[in-house]
Amino acid sequence: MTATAVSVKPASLLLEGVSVERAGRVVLANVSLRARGGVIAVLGPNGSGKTTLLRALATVTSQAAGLIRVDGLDPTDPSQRLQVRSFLGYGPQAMRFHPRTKVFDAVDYVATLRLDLPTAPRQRETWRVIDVLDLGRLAGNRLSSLSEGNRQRVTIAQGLLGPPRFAVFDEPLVSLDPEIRLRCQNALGDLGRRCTIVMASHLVNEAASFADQVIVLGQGQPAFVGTPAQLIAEGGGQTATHGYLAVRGAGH
Amino acid sequence: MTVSDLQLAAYRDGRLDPVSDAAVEELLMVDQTLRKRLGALAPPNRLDSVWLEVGHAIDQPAPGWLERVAGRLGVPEPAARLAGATPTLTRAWLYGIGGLVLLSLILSADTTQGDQRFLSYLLLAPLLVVLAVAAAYGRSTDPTHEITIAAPLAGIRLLLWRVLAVAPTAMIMNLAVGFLLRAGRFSFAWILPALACALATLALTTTLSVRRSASIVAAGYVVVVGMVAAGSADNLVAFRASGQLVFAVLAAVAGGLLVVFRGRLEEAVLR
Repeated sequence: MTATAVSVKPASLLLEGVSVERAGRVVLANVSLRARGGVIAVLGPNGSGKTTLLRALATVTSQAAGLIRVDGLDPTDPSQRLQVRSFLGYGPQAMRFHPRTKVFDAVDYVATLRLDLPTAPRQRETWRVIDVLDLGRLAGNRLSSLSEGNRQRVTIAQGLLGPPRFAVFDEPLVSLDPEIRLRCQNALGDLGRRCTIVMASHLVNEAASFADQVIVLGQGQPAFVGTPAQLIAEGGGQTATHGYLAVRGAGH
Repeated sequence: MTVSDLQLAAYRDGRLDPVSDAAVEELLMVDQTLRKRLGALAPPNRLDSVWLEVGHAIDQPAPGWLERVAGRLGVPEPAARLAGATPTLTRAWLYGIGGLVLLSLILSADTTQGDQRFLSYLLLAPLLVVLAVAAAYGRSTDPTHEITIAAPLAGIRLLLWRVLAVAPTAMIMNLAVGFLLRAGRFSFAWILPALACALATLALTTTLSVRRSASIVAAGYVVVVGMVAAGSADNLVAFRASGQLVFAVLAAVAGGLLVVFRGRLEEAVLR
């Protein structure tokens, strides 16, 4: 049986009073959320703590305080953190690889780290995510030869390996042209049926178009938590961006 | 021989016994009608997936030289992949060992000093192994660190796999330098010190970053061995039997500490 054939159930996510302090300054306070499956878009200006929140959920920092539970597991506990990582997909904002690394090698490298599979099924899974993002013809190209948008697709592709039951993507839609952005939105939306995805974005309308829940971060506080439809309603029924600006204004 | 649709389907699925399989294959070579019947039997999605697999086989880049060499040396494929897919790591490390090897050769080249000239070689050889450990893991040397630490393989297992992939090269280089210097039994006298230094670095990594641990151990090793050499008429005293015993004890202690505190390595990589 290959990894792709395994039926997966989205991991539950519970946040209660999550706060982040950086250099003695509170950059995020009192974020609470409950979800199982679907896409949760985290919106907010630069420096609002989006990336720090996402890094805490991705188990790569212990800076956040408050209660975080992923499928009932506590990511601050070392043994439970390892369990979380076994079903986690992570696409950081600026995924770094040596520029001479080839696309296939970069994704397969992450597959080697993430999936406990023999070579053949692991490479099949690598090809699966490469094909989902339509990167097949670039598989032998070095990352240095790719456009920023194509490098971003590689970042998203490696985050789909497994496939994960819980995934964290930081600005996955940035730098993508409209056609590829739509393809990536579809890939993430499709994954969201079997996975809980937390995604930070500056692209309010695009993120709201396929998210199931939206968090708008104001100055240190969540200014809005709800559905995209509720966010649009906050903006007088115009667009999600109008709603975003309205709730951000209320947060000031 | 006539081939029924059932037999042809069994051939398509690879379910025929070897003799029947060969017989059908022979007929397919000469019988165009049979080839057409086989083509009609193949489900379109199967054909698509075959073409996809062919495309993947063509597009998949060949493993790099380090992966190929490691594979031939018996290193497990995943370990070779992890070492080979991060060229920055290996290149920085190769520059490092190249520099140390050159320094070792230059400093130990003066044959008028007899065996005493091997002190530089024996001081530098274990540092190659420490450098291999230092380059194997950490935010400062691994550009993929952010992704790496979010993976279930992060921590001591990955660190040891990477050390396993890179340390043999350092050891081969050390033995080659010993051979070039005609160091005789001293060509092997660095092995226990190197093991002690490598294990001490790994043990310290449970508390400090890999880079800092390696720096402390390397500096400590050079200072202590240098002082022992300076305080004795025989500057190689640290590498004779009594010195080797001390290094063996140190290696055992460091290995024990590493086993006891291995759980802390997980926390250390997050710092």
